[in-house]
Amino acid sequence: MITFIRSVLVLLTIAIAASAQENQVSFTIQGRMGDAPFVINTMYRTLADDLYLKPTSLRYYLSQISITHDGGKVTPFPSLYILVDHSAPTSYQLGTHPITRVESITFHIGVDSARNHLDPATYAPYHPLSPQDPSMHWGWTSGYKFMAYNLLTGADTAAMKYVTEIHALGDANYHRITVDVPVDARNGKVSIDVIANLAELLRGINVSKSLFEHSDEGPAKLMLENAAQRVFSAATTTSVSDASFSEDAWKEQGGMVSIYDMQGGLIRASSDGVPSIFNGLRAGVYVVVRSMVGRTPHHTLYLHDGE
Amino acid sequence: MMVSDRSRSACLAVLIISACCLVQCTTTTGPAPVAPLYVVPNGFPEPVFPADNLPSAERIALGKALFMSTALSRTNTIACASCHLEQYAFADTATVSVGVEGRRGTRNAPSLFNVAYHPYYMREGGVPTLEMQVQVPIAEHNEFDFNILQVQARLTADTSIVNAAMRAYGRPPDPFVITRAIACFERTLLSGSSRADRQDLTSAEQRGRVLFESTRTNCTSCHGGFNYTTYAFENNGLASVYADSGRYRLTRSTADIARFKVPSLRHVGVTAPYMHDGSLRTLRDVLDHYNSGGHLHPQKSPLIRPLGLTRQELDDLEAYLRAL
Ligand code: HEC
Ligand code: HEC
Repeated sequence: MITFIRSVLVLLTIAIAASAQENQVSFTIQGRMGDAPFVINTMYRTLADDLYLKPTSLRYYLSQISITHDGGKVTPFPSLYILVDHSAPTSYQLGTHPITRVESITFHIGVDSARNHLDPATYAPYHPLSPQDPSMHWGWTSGYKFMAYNLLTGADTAAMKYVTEIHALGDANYHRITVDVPVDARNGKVSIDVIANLAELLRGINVSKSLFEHSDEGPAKLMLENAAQRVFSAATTTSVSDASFSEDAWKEQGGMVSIYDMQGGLIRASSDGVPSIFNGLRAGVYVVVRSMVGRTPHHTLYLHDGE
Repeated sequence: MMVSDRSRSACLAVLIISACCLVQCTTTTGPAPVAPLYVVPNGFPEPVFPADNLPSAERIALGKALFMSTALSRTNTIACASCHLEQYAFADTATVSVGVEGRRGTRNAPSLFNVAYHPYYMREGGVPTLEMQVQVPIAEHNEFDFNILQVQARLTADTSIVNAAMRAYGRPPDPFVITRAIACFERTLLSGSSRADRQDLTSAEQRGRVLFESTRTNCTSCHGGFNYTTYAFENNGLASVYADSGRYRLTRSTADIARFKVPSLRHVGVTAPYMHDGSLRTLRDVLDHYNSGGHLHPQKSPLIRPLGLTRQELDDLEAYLRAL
């Protein structure tokens, strides 16, 4: 049976009093656009609901990461740099640590000033701070782009004619973010899940025309402030929208249903001709998209507990 | 854009000549003397090579090949040497340099002689090392418009470059090797035997020198030292409104608006046009500018004020600048 669960996401917080001290710690960022999952090259409405918006790439650095746990102990990860890329999986293994009860996670968006101006070419290939393609470094300032967001906007989905690139950098825009994530270890694992409501990145930023801002000021500065103040929250507090829809009734009206994995990969669609697209689906977290000609698609995030 | 043997850097040529002389002049037996990798001009400090990029003949040769190579640009048409030409002291003659697809940049290309001694690079001074500077033109939209990982991919298909990289650095031509080799080559672009250095000046040039070093002109307050620059960031009153905000771009401090790194004046006779935007066409235009006291600007240095130089004095100063 398919079950839609209300208070979703992961954090199966029912702690099985973790006795082992060493646990495998993972950190997941779930990109969202409001209630819908954030999927690159997907059409959304802007915050002001006046335009369509299609993110084409979003990457940012996380640094000076630390976890507060087990009654205020702090485990820092001083050499950990994560390049979050929302066109790829955004789940990270942080290794095995004596962490059983997480209280919060702290990170900064960008690269700390001590490392920000060092030479990217000295890092091993594939290190997040080594040269990237497209580049996450701005040569003449000798500094990393903290966040690079590229998107298209337009009044109708067939003519997304405005191009926006906000590439934000600058030591003064390096902000610290702490997200309270109460979660306990379970079966030797601790999963710290954070929701990033990326719709908020553009709050106060006008993307109704093309905007090209590669800098440390104006919309670039604001985007990093938004990231620090408005975007991140613990996944436990999130609930999915009421998903008790009837697949058959929806299809009878001419609607389509598709299922995506958390990285945006299409698992299957009702146009494949299957009786129910949920049949035989493996347990896990998915995105269900209901679409119908002439309507904005409706996204639902849900946990599937298998047959 | 291939390098001909003729276009070896001047200093290397000098070096080879002196090495030949050594061979000829030495009568003692024993191992043949090895040519030094570079020659430090008289009175110059030893250039500092970083520990991860000590010089060797292989490194310098690879760096020179990459400096001359169009493979670094997306369109495979532009090399470092397209904008930094040896015959113009590794500067060019364009007002602002032209990169891929004819795209014009916003700044005039400076000479690369003696860059080994510069404490920072670019006119706002935001780039701390020559190795890091190499990454700037590769990514610049108006220069190579490329990505260093794609340069790496392209170079990796060239076995002669791969072999040279292995010999020089023991690794394939990755971003480390690309940046190190070019920087290593640039550090050998030393120049310090001009007629002014050799004190081989005509009397007009002599008079120009006295003026240049006098408190009447204050030229050496900013263009002092063996490289004719203090490397300070100054505003010399070039304009009252600048399209380019200079060091402010980097520091966001209003005191830095339209301040630019004081350039070296070595070989200034062949690096026209002048100033960050190439807006002054000739040396005489530059001298007329200084003689007039420049334009009003809040950041203009108090040293820039009307000089009242006569025509003869301007001629003398110009003659001296050409001997640098
Ligand atoms: C399209 C023309 C162009 C190309 C190609 C180019 N440069 Fe330049 N270069 C310039 C200009 C213009 C500047 C001045 C930039 C500034 O001051 O901000 C400059 C500045 C420099 C500087 C700084 C000098 C100083 O005094 O601060 C160095 C070093 C340099 N270039 C080396 C290179 C190397 C190495 C390459 C090839 C990897 C290269 N350039 C390719 C035009 C070019
Ligand atoms: C207050 C400091 C200062 C003083 C004094 C000064 N300069 Fe300059 N000079 C500069 C700066 C800064 C630049 C570069 C400005 C720019 O890039 O727009 C420059 C540029 C030049 C250039 C152009 C170099 C090039 O390659 O573009 C020449 C030539 C020059 N100065 C000669 C002189 C002479 C001759 C004097 C004395 C009459 C003098 N300067 C006095 C600061 C100074």
